[in-house]
Amino acid sequence: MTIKALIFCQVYHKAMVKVLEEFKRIPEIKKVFSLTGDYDVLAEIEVESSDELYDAFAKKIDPIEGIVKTNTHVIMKSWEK
Amino acid sequence: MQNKNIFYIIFANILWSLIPVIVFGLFNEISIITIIFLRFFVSGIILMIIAVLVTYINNKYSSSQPLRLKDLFKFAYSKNESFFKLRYIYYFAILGFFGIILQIIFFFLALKISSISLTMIGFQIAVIFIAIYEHGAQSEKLDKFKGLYIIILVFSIGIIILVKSQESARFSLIGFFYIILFTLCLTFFQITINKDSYSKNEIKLINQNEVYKVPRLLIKISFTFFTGIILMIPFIFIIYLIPVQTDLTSEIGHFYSDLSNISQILLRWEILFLIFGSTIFPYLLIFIAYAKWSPYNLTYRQWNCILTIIEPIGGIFFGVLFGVDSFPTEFLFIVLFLLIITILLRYIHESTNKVNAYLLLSKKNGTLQGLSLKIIKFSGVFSIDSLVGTHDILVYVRTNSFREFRYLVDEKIRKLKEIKNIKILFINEIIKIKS
Repeated sequence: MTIKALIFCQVYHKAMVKVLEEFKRIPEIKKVFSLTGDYDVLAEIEVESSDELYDAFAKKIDPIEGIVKTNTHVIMKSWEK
Repeated sequence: MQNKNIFYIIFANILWSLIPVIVFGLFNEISIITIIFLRFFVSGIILMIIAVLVTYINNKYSSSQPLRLKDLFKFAYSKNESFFKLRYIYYFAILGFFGIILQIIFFFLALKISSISLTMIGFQIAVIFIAIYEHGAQSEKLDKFKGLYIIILVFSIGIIILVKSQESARFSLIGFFYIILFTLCLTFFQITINKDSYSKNEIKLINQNEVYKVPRLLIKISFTFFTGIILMIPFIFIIYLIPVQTDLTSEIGHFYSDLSNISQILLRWEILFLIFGSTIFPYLLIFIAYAKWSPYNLTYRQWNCILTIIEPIGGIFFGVLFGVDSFPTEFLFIVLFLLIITILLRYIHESTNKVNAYLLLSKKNGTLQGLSLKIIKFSGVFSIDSLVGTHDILVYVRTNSFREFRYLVDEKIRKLKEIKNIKILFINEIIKIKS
């Protein structure tokens, strides 16, 4: 079963482009949003298990230089119209 | 995918713009009431059959959730919360009669008495009326691009009137009167067609199977055609009984005499083209574009507003091209150029005013159930995710202007008693990553 998660990131000033480039290389990330507000970037992740989610985050996202803080949410249910 | 959807809207508008050229030759032989009756009655039946077929094919060949015809017809009797809480069936009747039937009656009368290019100013005036209405309704800002857009439209209308005033035979006060009535009905149609929102139950159905949107739209438009035609029957009967001879009275008399050979009229290529080429096919294109619209760009409504001017451009161009209307070449190029400029200006206006944002909501305990469905019903909300984490709900919002955005956040969402806190994150850029 696919798990969808959202990773909100605060990024260092001037590190934005680098962080976005790094995100583009991570296959689990399906969409990236550049934001204005409390967070600078939102990454939408799709994985098949919680282990995969942990690997994607711990091994690929967390080590990226320039990310100050992350806040991860897992999507329980989505509605569209 | 989005380019394909935009192409569908352009193509649908081009097909609609062929209507004046097609019907112009029919006016001497067939009543405009007969043309309208056949066009909308037959199209209504075919669109209804297509809706049933789409439902059948989905249920038979798709692995997704089956659609029930009962659900699709049930919505016609539910209340439309965006239109005075009237039942949908009454909304369809009002939209069908005033927005479609009367609009086309006055459009055809204007075409018959004046000329194609002069009648087409009705589209431009309607666009101006809608812009004024939106400004008055506080939903859209009248920025410099929209201001310039309106000025150029007024200028192009002025050129058309000036050119056509040289032809005394087809320039009359009564022709203008029909153009104004057509414009008012068209304005009403454009404003009212968007007063439609999904109920909670429908949102559940859409999330079970997205295809639901397509037969729903088909049923909506076929009901609108049917109810419009049903109301037209007593209307023409009353007009016929009034002892004042008008253009409409003679058209109604002609319609009664047309009834004896209605099947032969139906089989004429012009009528068949009107039904299939200029009604069923363009509506199907528009519905497909609407149902498959990508949520991360300009809205379907915005693109529709931008491209709506294609219809008068095409109408004037095809009128001259097929020799049905005359227009001096140098003025024709100026008018077409100005109208194309308005498309660009409208695009700039819509692009600079759109607001894309995420709202992170925190809710009070014990309120999650039902809250998502309550929020997704609001106009401007496109998707909702229920979350596990610091925040409870993520709302994707896309509005045509900052005014609409403020209204949605402050007047709608913030006023919900279940909401504890809202965090706004404006989207600057969306980067889609190919997997």
